[in-house]
Amino acid sequence: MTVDYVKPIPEPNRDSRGFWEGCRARELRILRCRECGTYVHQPAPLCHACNASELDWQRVSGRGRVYSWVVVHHGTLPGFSRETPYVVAFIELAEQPGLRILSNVIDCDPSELCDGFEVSVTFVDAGDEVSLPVFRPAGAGE
Amino acid sequence: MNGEDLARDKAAVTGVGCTGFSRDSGVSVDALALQASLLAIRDAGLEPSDIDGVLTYGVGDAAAVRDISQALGLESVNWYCDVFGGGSYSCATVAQAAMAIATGLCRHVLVYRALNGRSGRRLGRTALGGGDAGPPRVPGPGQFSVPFGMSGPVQQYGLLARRHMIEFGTTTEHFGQVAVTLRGNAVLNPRAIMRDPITLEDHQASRWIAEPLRLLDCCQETDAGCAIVLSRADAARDRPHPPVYLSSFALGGSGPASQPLDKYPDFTRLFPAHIGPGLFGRAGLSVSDIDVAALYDAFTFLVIAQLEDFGFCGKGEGGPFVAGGGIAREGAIPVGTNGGLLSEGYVHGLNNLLEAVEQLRGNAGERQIEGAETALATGWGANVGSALVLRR
Repeated sequence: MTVDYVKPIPEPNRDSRGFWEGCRARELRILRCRECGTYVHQPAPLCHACNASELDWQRVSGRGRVYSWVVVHHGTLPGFSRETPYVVAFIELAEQPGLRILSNVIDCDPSELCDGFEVSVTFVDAGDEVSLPVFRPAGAGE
Repeated sequence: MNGEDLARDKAAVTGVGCTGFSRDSGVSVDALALQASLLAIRDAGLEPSDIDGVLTYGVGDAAAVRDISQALGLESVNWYCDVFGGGSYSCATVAQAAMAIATGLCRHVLVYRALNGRSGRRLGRTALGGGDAGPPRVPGPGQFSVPFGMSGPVQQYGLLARRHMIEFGTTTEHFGQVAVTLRGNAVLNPRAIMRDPITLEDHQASRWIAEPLRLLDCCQETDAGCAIVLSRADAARDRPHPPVYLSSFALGGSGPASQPLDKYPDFTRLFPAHIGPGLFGRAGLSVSDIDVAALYDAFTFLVIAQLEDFGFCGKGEGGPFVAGGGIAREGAIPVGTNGGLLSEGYVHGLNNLLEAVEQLRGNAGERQIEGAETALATGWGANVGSALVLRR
């Protein structure tokens, strides 16, 4: 069973529940507009491109590129101070230009990161209820 | 019809007040707010009973308008508001006061911000509310950032700064030049909490907080309160100090943006690019007419971004502009003449606005920029920011 998990965990709501259910099933699912095909993240009740309200959860490839990143050396959140330095990054997902998700890049020396660094998703359990999507260098395997 | 003449110069700053800056005020947030408010009301030559509007803004530590209004003994208030928000709202809250005046609703409006930002609730730790046993649960947009170790503004702005470095070759030394310049200004400011000069080497030797931002790229955490009184133009002219008019204002940003910027369309085209043209247009000025700039400088990078996106220099040229002395006292556009949030202290941006007012009054002592007649003051948080154009 999971050891005590002390870091903050997400509190899903009606808009975001499908995302977190996907993560628990080890799938990265992003809302996609049924009308115009635009992917929408963070989840929202409307498509920001065409304002249609019919959106479906769609599994995406989990591949992407680093768009920007910070190396956090001063961690103030519960459970993070002992993990510094760690990387927080925006990953631009392969499915759509500008479709970015904030996450961690793990299993990687931060000094190796660069613009466009290729990554792919994996999932880490955050306690017994939630899994978080994080990213590793592409080709590192699941 | 253009809206430009409806609000232009209809309200003026008539009073300013500020407590001392410290790491531990030893008093409550309400006490800081009241001290600053009374100073501002008296600076305007008024009594509390003259005040008919009260506004503040805040996240983290804050003093509620109802409490401050009651403590001041105000009996008749026509407009009050506690704005929920941080850096974005410093100038926006003052702008809301100006709207209350321009509509005829109020005559003298008090705007304050007070916080025990070091000894009380520290802003870098506002990501979490109080928690029960077990891991804290994060609702709202924060559910997509906080669980990954994103605790606050320093990481957020670090992500914007990194993208700027990628696109334009901006360097940590450029950030350092902002810190060094503003510290030099703070040396002249008796109120500033950091008055020892620093060098670029000091900056480069300071530790990483959220790389590419170092300790000396970050603003101070202080306990203090600031207040201003805004008056209807026809009630501003017979006061102890020359009125400082609000020529225009705006609060805005871009597109479908939510913290932490997941949907921000372009990390290198930030809030000033969206509000700047209208802001200067409504004031009847252009950016080159601005004499001093009280730019929101919670982190050094913010100065570079605003210089570019308001048009003080070309896109991508902010770093070299700063390194070439562009923001120095004798430069093309003096920035942060009080030392800014980086070195004077941090009252969520309102202290920078006070400096702009003192510059336009010609009342800034050793810090005075000779002949300053117009100023730009700004506030910024994540995807949106606010700004005021002021003139004497």
